[in-house]
Amino acid sequence: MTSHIHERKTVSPYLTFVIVHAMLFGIDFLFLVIKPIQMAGQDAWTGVLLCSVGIHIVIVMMYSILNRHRTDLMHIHIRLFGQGIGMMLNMIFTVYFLFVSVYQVRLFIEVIQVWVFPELKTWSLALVLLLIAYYIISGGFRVIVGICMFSLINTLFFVTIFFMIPYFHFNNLLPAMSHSPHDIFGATKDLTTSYMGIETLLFCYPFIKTPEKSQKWAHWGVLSMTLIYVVEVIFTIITFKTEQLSDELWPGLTKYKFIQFPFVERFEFIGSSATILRLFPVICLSIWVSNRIMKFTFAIRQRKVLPFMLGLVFIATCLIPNRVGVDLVHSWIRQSGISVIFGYIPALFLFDISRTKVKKTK
Amino acid sequence: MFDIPKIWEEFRESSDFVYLRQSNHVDHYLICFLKSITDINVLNEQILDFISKNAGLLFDELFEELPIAEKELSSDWDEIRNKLLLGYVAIQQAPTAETILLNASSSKGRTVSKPEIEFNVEGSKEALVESLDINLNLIRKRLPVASLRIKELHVGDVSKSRVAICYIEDITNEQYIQTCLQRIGDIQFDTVTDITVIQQIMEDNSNSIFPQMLGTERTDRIVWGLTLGQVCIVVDGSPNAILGPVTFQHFFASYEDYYLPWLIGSIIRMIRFTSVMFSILASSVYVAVLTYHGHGISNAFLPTIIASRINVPFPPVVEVLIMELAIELLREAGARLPSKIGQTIGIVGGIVLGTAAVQASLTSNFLLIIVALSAMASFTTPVFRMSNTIRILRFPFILFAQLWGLLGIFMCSIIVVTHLLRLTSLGMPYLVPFYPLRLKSLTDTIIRPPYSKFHQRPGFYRTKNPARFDKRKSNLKNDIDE
Repeated sequence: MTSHIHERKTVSPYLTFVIVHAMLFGIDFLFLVIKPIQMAGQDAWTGVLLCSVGIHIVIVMMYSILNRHRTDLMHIHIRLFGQGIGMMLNMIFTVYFLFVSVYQVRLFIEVIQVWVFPELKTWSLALVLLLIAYYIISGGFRVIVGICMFSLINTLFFVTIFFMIPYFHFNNLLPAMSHSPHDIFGATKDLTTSYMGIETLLFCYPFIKTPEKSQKWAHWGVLSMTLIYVVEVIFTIITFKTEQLSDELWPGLTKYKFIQFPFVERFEFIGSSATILRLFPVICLSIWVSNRIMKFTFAIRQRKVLPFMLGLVFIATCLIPNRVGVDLVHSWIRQSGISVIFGYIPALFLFDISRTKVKKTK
Repeated sequence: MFDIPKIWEEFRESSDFVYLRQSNHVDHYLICFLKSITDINVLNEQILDFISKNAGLLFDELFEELPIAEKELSSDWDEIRNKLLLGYVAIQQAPTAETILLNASSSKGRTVSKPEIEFNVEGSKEALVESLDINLNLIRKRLPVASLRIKELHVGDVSKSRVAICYIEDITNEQYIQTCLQRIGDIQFDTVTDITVIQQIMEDNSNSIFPQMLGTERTDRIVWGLTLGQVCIVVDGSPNAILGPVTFQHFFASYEDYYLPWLIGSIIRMIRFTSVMFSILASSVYVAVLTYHGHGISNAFLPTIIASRINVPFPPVVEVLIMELAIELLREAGARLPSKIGQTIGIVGGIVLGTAAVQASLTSNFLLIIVALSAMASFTTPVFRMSNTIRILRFPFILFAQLWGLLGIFMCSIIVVTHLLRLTSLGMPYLVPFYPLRLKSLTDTIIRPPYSKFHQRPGFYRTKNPARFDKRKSNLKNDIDE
């Protein structure tokens, strides 16, 4: 029961790097450093490294499962747990990915409402964003990955971090290693949110030409993002005091205030508008995944489910009224993300290994 | 003597139909032709002259001895009728059913002249004309290889236009040739007056404003495309050919880039890319900044803008739309008028109206500069259809900028990028080699590399023979002091 994807619809293995990079460089990036730094202070960067090691192990596990079955997670579910439970697990993942996209859309609208248009109505922007998402997703996987690739120009904005060099206080980094392992592990756990998104690879797998070769690229993607996270964390530590940071909601956007060009006085308008490039890869891939699962489960055309799905996302987005609601959803997402990445995938891995061993001994 | 056979009845209604009874005292012939497309000199000096001097020949002997290169003996009425419409002369003798068909067609048309749309300073000054035969002659003259194949099809029930599909057999990917042949074969439209008709019908997505085939009138560009692995389509009656498959960046490469030293060519090409970006974005950024992000402008710059806009009664978007429409109006008026009046229109519209509009406080100086610059920038696009696209593309950007400011501009660019990602040209992705990324083929995109680096054909054409020449032989350099 392997899913056959026409070769014209598949993408080259190196694009796994692009997918991972775009998924991990989401809007969360703009504020993910706050909590780890509050917990582990100047040692937060060790948390990033620890978390990255954990993610690499998870990727090894994921590819071990995928390579053994040579298909995507929804088929594996059915194969391992049978029709009933497998289907239920698939539906849980649909809901999970829908929630992720709802959260991302609402978060983006929050950014725009705080930084650019305070008066903007949630529904109007959500409507436009989801219409654009419809256009992208109906183009298929290749187009979505193309948008991921286009969003990589966002990395250019990361370079603007060097405008802050005059404001650096390197003393902030000292004393090094003064926090307890408990604090550092707390920071690590919190940072897992920033690595959320790699679980989409479980569903993209059959869409990659020679998918076995893509593992290397997934690791490279995580590695490059780790580098960016470490730089971001260190630069935040040496720019802000820890107390200052507790007043900040979006340190990733605040740093744009340091930037000045002869023409442009306030770069944060450009910077926060460009956040849209972080949004689309994440929501398009997430909605696409839940769409695929729906198609697989109920045997309906993706074209027909898609407007329905987007409608759900639209309604859910409009139902989150304010910052408090966003925070609440964020904490749900964080919990479920951590349990998927560090709970469910390792468990599935162990189950799969033991199952094959039992089969062999029989 | 005999009456005109019934088969000619349908032609007798046309005044250019001629039927002669020609005799040389021994034999009597009926000669029919359409004088509008037949060369009377050939008829007089070769056919009639021969008949009158050679009495007593059998019909078959006459056919064999007539000094005309293209001749046929036919009894199929459909063929006779079609040939007559192409300028053949039909000769019949009373008792026989057979008809001799002699090609005496004359085609009147332009002679080969300078390119007018894709003008250039350096390089050849030879452009296609309306006659298919002359065009094919121009192409084949530049490519004296046996593997250059020309497949001719007839398209259109009424116009019966001759369409030639040219490609180099041992380079071009079979799939592209088959796609072209099939799509042209499938065309149902009855009248094909120009290559653009075929282009619009056969393009992958005919609802897109982006051209997916490259129209050109330059023979050197056609030859360059053929040798890289493209297919070229020429239609009788059109002074343009189309090349395909193409990618997005081809539309911003002027062929003259290849005639300039590679550094200069590359710099000019990069300027062109920047100007296209400027042309699309400038006026929408103006709308976005002045409508929503006024405090984003630096203090040094703000007084200039305020001073120039202080008396303008309109909101920025109305101001921009008026000016953009005025420029489009000027362009359209200039294009529809004879060239001498066109220049006058340019002066009246550009200078008089521009200055007057600013003095009347209908627009700001600042915007006038932006709009004029972006109009000029859009004309740097070397392919006409693409420069139309660039001009039209500005308007959605202005609309989105008015609705959501800079965010709207980002949204619109995502929509455009998605659209480009979805497009294909003869099945080849439109944005290749940027997406999917093909590092080796990236050389001839934004920069124009030196010829020594052109040792391979771009990989995305999937040619049968990727190597253009042996790289090892060309790259040998002497060591220092040797």
